Amino acid sequence: MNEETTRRAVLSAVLGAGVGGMALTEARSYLTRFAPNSGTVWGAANRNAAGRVESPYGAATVSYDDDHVPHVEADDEHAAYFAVGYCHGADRFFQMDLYRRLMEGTLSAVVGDVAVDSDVFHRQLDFAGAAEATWERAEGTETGDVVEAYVDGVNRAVEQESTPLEYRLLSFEPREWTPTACLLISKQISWGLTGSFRTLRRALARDRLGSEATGALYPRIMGHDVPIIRDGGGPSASTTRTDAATPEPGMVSWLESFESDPGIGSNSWVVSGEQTASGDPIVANDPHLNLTVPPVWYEQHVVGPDPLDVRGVSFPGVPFVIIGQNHAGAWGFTNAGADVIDFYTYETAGDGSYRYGDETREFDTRTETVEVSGGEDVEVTVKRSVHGSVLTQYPDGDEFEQADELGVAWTGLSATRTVEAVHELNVAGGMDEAEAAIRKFDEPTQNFVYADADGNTYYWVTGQIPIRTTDGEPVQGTRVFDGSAREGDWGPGYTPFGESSWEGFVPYEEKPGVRNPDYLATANQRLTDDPEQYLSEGYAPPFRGGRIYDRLDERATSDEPMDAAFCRDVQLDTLDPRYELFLPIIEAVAEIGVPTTDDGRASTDAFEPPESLLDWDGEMRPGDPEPLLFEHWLREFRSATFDDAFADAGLPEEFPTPNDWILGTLPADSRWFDGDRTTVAAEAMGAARDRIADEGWDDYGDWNRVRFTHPFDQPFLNYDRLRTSGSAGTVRNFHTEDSTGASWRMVATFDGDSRAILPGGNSGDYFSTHYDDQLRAWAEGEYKSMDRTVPDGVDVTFEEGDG
Amino acid sequence: MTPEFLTELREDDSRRVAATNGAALLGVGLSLFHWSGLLLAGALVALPQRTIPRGIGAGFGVGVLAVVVFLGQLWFGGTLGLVLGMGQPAWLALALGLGLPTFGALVRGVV
Repeated sequence: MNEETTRRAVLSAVLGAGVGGMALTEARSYLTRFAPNSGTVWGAANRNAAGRVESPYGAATVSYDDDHVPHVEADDEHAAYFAVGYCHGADRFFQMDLYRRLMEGTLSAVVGDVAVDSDVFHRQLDFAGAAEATWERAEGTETGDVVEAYVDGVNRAVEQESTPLEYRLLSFEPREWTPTACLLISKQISWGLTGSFRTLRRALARDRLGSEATGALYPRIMGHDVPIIRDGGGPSASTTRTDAATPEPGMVSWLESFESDPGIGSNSWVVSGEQTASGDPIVANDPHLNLTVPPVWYEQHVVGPDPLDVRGVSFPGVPFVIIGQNHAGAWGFTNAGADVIDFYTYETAGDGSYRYGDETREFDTRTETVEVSGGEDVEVTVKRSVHGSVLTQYPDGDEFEQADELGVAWTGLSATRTVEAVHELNVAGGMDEAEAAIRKFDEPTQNFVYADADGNTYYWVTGQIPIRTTDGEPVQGTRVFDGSAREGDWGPGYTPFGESSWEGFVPYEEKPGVRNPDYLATANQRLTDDPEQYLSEGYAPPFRGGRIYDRLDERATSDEPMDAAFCRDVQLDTLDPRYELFLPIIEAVAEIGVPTTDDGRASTDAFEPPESLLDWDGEMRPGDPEPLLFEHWLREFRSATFDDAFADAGLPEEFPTPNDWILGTLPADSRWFDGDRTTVAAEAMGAARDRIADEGWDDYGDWNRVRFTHPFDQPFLNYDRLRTSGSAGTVRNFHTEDSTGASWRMVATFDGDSRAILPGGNSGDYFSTHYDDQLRAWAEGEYKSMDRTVPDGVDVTFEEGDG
Repeated sequence: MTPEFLTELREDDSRRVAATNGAALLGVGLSLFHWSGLLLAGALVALPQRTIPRGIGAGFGVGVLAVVVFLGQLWFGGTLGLVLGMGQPAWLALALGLGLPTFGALVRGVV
């Protein structure tokens, strides 16, 4: 064979192998997605919103403003919400679809086995069943019809707009949006705000640390004097608890990943016209939720048949404005922390039956299949008891004895009317109509603050709060109940996966609330000192609530009236009250000095601990070194106080330590400090100093940075890492590592100068200039207008037709 | 092994240039619809060239053209900066744009 023939043979082989490799292996998938010109991924870079859309509901227009906020106008409400659905579908469909997959337990089908645990949990709790029941209740109602118009709009956008980048990257297809999917999003929100496993953690702590220690470290009621409704009565006492069973530690750890991050909370306050220069009230609200890419909220303005004219934020997938302002009023929400979930064990016979009082009942059981992309499918048993769902990590056959299986009652498992309440709130013509709407807000339990153009102010706790009874007597929901003995039964109105009534729930008038308060602040702290009924197993520490009230009180007693600029300044307040609480400990450390490390390392020039902390003003500013040292000292101090003792007691490694209010108010000779708090604090100071030196941080902003990640966690999809202010203890709330904080800052007035800001951008499309255009302004504490003027020009015109 | 018409084409400068240009346009046009168009583009522009190195060079050249078309579309769409900001996916696209036609041009060494 000559040289030419050899060359031809070799090149033929190379070409054949290369082309075969491209066409027949995984490489083809990459070529299909990423090849220039034809790659499916690049189709997302050429998205153009359709200028004209046919709508079966009639004419509407959408005008996007400079911040990509859609201003929807229509003469018919259904036409308006078809257009709103189109906007959500065009701007945020991937996010909506991902939340739906999370809640229905079908994430593994697209992301693989990393999501199997999540899918098993969500199937077992059966959020999908609860959402279906809720839609059955809404279907055919006025609200249900509007939801259907919205869903049709979403699906029209999915058909007509270019497929979002994320689907192209992962090579899967969008699925049709449904009314049940809208309600799954609502369930996701409710679960994030009220789905807590605190009862199980405390039961485990009582078993490992003893009741007395648990009561001291995790008190149901903290002894501060700034509840939301300040009546000066002092907190009511907790009761003795006995658990029916101790939860299995592995199950407690497993469940923790399916509840809210620690930083979830919010601030809101309402100020009456008596306190303002204009004589009009003000509503301020900044909900602290997960700071995600794209943001959890979507801003919109909807103008429809009179009186519909509402602007604010909705959750993508939910048609209506949740927090915002309409023609007559403005409103906001913070989490009330009410206890709306309980856990039960049962006596079982091993044949699928369990005892319930004098009866023997069968679990309602079915098997579902979790599809796993690139892996083997997983079978999951979905089980219901009389109380609701049944949760288990990995059943070991002994059923409920070890409490690795638990019955769960949760208000969100019922068919609720929240979507109807929010729909009515959007058109409420003042305080009375807003109250009528909010009475239907069955879940989640929230602090609702409202003010109207007539000068009324209003605060009430929303949502159903169960009254539990054992032998007919009300009991607190602070322990694991024996379900077979009918302990902790909820009232007859609770029907899991069916239509509930308010029978057996705390009546509306008995829930905390105030009509026409002069001013009132909510920051997830205790609702009131002496409620008529048991409300909650735990509240947030009083740092934010106390600081807001301090600022409002100071202004109220000064000559200066409150105004919007003042309220925005309070929202951005960076004074950390934890500093004042811990200052005596820092002073004690200054007296004995900070120990050096074994290698004799000296502190950096930027830090002269702890003396530099003694003259600090407690402001968590990014340019200062003191907040960095304080924050890391506090972390080290907390860890040094509890970690070893908790490990010795057999608590799981990630078991949450007591909050900073508890740590800061423990007596100096508490056993948790081994009798010498100052030494523990001094060593923590040394450890904090060394950590800062090791990391090379110079000031607080080097550590306190925006770290918002997209679910795919690709660098180009994540937001830029910006230095910012605030901490877990400040009103301007920001949790660096948990990435939680102000997911929306709003100060609403009645003079046309309402302002707000999102952490990111209104579009979820990476290729949009509005993907993160508000991020820097948010990080720097700026606001933009949220007035209800429709901008000139129309971006999308909806015309009558079937499409 | 080499068909007569190709031999003749390679020897006629004006026909060769015309065939190269036509092949480049056809290949880049096909690349708008499927990635195999890039392979084909490289092969088509390489075949009329007189030598194998020139053929491979022509393949690389049509790759450059395909990449310019790709970047141009993004530039007109206002998303060029964002696509380049994606990092790995963008570099992968550029590498495929240059690599596939060059690889396809190896056919010049066979025919």
